Amino acid sequence: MLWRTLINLRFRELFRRKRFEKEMDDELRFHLESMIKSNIQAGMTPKEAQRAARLAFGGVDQIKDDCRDTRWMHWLDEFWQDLRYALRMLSRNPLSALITVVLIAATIGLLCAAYAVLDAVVLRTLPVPHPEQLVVINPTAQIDSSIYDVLQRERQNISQIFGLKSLRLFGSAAGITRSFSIYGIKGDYFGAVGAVPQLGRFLAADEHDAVAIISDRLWRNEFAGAPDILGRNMKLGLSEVTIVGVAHRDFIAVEEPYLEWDAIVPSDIFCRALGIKRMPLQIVARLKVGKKAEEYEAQLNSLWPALLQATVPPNMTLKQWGEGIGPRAQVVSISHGINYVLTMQPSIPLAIYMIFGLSILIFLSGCLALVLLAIARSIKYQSQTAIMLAIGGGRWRVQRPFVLEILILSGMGCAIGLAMAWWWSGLGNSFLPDSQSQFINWHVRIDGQVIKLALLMTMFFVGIVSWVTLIFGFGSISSRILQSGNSASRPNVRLRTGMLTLQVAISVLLIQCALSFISTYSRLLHIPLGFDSENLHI
Amino acid sequence: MLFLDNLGIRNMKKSDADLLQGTLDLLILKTLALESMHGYGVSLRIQQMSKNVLRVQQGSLYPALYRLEQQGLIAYEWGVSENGHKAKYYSLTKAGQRRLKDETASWDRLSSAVMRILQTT
Repeated sequence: MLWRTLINLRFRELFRRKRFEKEMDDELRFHLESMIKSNIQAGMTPKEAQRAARLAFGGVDQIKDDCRDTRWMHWLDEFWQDLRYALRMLSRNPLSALITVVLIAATIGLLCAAYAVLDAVVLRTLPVPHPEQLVVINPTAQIDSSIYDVLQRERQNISQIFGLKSLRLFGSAAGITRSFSIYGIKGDYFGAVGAVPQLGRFLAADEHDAVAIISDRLWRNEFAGAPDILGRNMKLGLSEVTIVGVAHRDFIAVEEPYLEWDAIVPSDIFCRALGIKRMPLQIVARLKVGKKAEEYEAQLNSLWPALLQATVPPNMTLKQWGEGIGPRAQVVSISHGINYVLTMQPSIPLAIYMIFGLSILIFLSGCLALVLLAIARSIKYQSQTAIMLAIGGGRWRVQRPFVLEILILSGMGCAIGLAMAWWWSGLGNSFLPDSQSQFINWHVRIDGQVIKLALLMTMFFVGIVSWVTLIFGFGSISSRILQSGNSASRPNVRLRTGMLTLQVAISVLLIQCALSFISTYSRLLHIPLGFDSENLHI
Repeated sequence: MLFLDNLGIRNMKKSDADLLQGTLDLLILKTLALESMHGYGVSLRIQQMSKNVLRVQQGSLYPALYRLEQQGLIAYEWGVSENGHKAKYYSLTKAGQRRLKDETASWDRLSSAVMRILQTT
């Protein structure tokens, strides 16, 4: 079988390199000796025979190189040569290498961190099936449950509806008393978001029992991931509830995805825990397929005045009631997580977009600095490149070590940049007081998309620097460079010095910007509040 | 005498180089189809069979032999030459025999077609 022969051959090549070289030596020597012998038999003296044979044979090293090039793994040998050459060049220019790595790392780190924040806050959709169908009604208002009862009957535009309310309550679980982040829900919350439990069951749409679903975080931290968690009790405010299910780790509250919740209970139990009769709700609905938020909003507005009239409490006027709930219905999509909250605070997304834009500008400045560095290096190595080309090196063969060099530097910069992005992306929670930070998670993360962005930027750096090297290192190669010596290269030295000066200036400016950015962060973290926030809860 | 020289291949257009390389491969395969032999023997045999019209330079012969070996068309084993030296003997594999058959048929068609054109009056 041909393929088996070929696999055997390739496999042998990998481990028998020395043997290959020795066999090639022996074979060529045999050929040369046979030619010498033939010449002697033809009447030449041994000396003449040897000379004639060597002349006819040609360059042995060239033949060997051509033979090596036919091997499957010759690219591995060449890669190893290129790598050693690239590393030698790096070791000769440590300062330039350091500047390049720092530049790449800083620009990748900054842009990736900015993108991670932008993605978490503005771009990312909720991790539920068809998030574009989820809408919230009057997001800034707390709607009375009596209104929910009316709305859940109006199903022309929606397939599911639920209400929820979050609050922090003191309670105890597994012998630990602390503040818990609790959700009270009304309606088929879990069905509407298409969630399945990790353990046990979720709450039914008409659940009234004193039961609770706990988060994966609470289960692991307070109950040490006990497998017999179902049926255990925990105290929440004035109520004692039985745990009937554990949610998956990635289950988030759709209406407040940045909130780290601990338990979800039916609305009745929520009211009982708080000692109240009626629970104000945030109402979320799932639109029917093909229906739009505007259609649902129009429908709600047509019945809103009558709805307010019918539900106004005896101790309030219609005007007061309308001001509290909203004089008209507003239906807002929550497909992009907390983005809908930001529609009420437009300065936040604006600031995030500005930071992202600034990061892109810094990235472009970094590119410019790298290009200048590459031009300076290309000019420096122009004579060396010309010699390599003159002795028969192909353009790609000569350029490969340069590409490999920038690939190594970009790879290092990319890895360090991603580490920096990971560190910077965690700074968001540093602004929160300790009492808040355990309940808030912006889900800013260095995920596959951010890594893809970093790799894309790395490849962009490699591409642009390789291109510049090709243009400036090879574009003007001519015999003039080889012949002219110092006098011809003098203008290039001036240009190189100018480029390096400009590049260092841009680098210093960028590093100064980055340091100012970090010091501003640091100062913000240590602003005195004017009071002792220790053990203070809202 | 025509030299099948690798320098010639390098300096010519890719299509011409491919044609010459293919011709050299065919000649080597044909030579080895008769009996296994070492590189020097292949070079001499081509020269003899072509009545000194074709002469293969070492710079073309050995890369071609190594290339054919890489393609699994020929195999080698070490033996002792007629003058008692250790030598690398090449022989045709089954894949090489098939390739020789195909290439010979293809060459026949091509040369007949060219000949017909040249003989047209």
